[in-house]
Amino acid sequence: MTEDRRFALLLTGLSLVTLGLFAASLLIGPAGLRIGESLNALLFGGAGHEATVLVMREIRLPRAILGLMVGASLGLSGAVLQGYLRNPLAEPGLIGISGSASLGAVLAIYTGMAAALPLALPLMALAGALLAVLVVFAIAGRRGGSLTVILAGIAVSSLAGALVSLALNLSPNPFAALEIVFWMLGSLADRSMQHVGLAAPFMLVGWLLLAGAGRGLDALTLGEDAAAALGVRLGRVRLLAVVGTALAVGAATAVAGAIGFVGLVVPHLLRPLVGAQPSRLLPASALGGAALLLASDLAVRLIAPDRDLKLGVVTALVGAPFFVWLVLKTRRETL
Amino acid sequence: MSLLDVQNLSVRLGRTDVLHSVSITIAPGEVVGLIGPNGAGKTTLMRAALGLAPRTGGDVAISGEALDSLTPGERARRVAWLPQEREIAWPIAVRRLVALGRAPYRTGFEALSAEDQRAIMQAMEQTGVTHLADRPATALSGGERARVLIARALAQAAPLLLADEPTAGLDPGHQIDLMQTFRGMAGNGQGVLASLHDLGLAARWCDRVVLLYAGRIVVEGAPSEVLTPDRLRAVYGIEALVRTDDGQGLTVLPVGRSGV
Repeated sequence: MTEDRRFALLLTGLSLVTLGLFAASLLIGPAGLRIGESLNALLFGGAGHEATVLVMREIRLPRAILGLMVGASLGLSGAVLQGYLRNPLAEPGLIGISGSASLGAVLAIYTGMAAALPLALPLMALAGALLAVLVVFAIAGRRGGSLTVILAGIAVSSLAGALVSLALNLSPNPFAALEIVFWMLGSLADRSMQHVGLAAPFMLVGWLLLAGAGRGLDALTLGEDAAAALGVRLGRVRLLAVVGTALAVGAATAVAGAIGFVGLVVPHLLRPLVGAQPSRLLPASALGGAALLLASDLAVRLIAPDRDLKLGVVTALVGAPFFVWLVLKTRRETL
Repeated sequence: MSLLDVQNLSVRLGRTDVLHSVSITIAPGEVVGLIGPNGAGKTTLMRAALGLAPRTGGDVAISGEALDSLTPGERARRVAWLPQEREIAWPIAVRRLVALGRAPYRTGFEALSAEDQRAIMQAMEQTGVTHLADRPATALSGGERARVLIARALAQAAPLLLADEPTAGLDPGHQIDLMQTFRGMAGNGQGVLASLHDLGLAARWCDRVVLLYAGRIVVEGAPSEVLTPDRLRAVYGIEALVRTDDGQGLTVLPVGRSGV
C-alpha cells in the first residue's frame, strides 16, 4: 500500500527533523561551546570542565527536553481537539485550558507565592487547567455534544482572561505587572530539570489519553450520530480529548507559559500529508509540534540572544502570517 | 426471530411528545418503507430504536436481545445506521471513508482484514463509487457523497440497516439501483427499514409500508393497502394517481394539493 508507505515515510522524516532540532538545541547557545566538548560534558561529565557540564546538563538539556515535550503536547492536543470538534479552528486555547492554566500561574505571581516557592507557579497553573476541565464538564453536561464543549470552553476562557486582566489591573507595582506579562508571553529560558520532572508525568499521561481517542476521531468524521451508531462511545472520546488536553497542555503552560498557534497551525499544515485521516494526524502533529517549537526556541536564541525574545511572541509572529496564507488557500479552493 | 422489535416506544424531546406508543418489527428478508409527512417522527423513531435518542417508554430488541443489554460494539455489528445528515468533516479518500464501516469489527489500529477489504469493495461496487475510491470525499457532488455514505453503511454488513431518506439527492437511476440493493440484501436474509418521501419508490420496492403521522402509526401493511388516495389525502393533503393496471406493480404519483 503506497498510502501506508507514505505515512511511514512522513513519520520518519518528521522524527529525523525533530531529532536534528533537538540536537541543535543542545549545541547552540550563548556559551559558545564546541560540539565535541559539549557532547562529552553532557554524556560523561568530566573533571575540570564543571562549567561546561553545568551549562549542558542544567541549562541546555532541560530547555531542549521541554521544547520537545511542550511542542508535542501542543501539536497532539491541537490535532485531537480539531478532530473531536470537527473544526479546523480548534486549538487547546479554545476549550479554556491554556487560559485557566495562565490564570493559575498569574495568581501565583500576583500573590507572591511564586517568589516564595519556585514550584508554586507550575503547580498553580496545573491546578488551573484541571479546574477548567471540571468547569467545562459541569457546564457542558453529561450528554453535551461537541458544540456545547466549545461554548463552555469559550465561557471558561473569557472568565480566566478577565481574571488575569483583573490581577494586572490591581497589581501592587509595575514590576509585578511586568512579570505577569512577561510570563504570559511564554518562554523556555532558565528552566531546570525540576520543571522537566514536574511536567513529564502529566504530559505522558495526557499523551496516552489523547492517543486513545484516535479511532473514535476517525469515526467522528461522519458526525456524532453516525459515529455513535458505529459503536463509538462519544462520552469516552470527549473525556479522553478534554482531560488529555488538560494534562498535556496544562503541564506545558505551567512550565513554558502560554504559547499560541502551534496547536492550531501544525495540524492544519500536516493534514493534507496524512490523507486528512484524524488518527494519522495525531503522531504527525505531535512530531510536527515538537519540531516547530524547538525551531522557534532556536530562533529566539539566534535572532536576538541578548534581548530575551519570548518564545510565544515568535510562534505568533510566524503563526499569524501563516494562518492568513491558509485562509487565502482555503478561499481559492472553495471558489 | 425479528431483526428489530420495537414495542410501545414513546419519545419526548424537550416538552414535545414526538412518538406515542409506536410498535414496529422488521423480519429477516424484509424491506420496510417508513413514510409520513415532515415532522411525523420518522427520524426520531429510528434514532430511538438505535439508542441514539432517549426513550421515555417502551422496549427495543435487536436480533432478539434487549437494546440496553448490548454494548455499543455489539449493537454496531447488528444494525447499521445511515443518518440523513451527510456529514463528512475532513477530505479523506472515499476508500478510507467507506472503510469506517468496518470499525465495529476491528480493534486497535490493526490493518484491514481480507474480509474487511472484500466488504469495502463490494459496498463501493453496489453504490457505483468504485471509480471514486481515491478521490477526497468532500470534493464529490451531493449525489456522489450520498452514495459514498451509503457504501459506508453497507460495508458495515450488519443484519439490519436503518436508513434515513437514503434516496434523497440521488438521480432516478441511482435511486432504483439503491432500492435494488436493498432487495438484494433482503434476498440474503438482511432487513432494511428506510424512511422515504418518494411514494412511488415505497410502493414499488417495499414489502411493507409503515405510515407515521404526528407520532403515531396510522396504518401499516402491503403498499397497496396503505397507499390509497383517501389516506394520502388525509395524511399528506395531496391528490395522487394510484394505479395497479400497468403490469408493473403499484404506481403512486402525487399530482397536486387537495382542495380543503
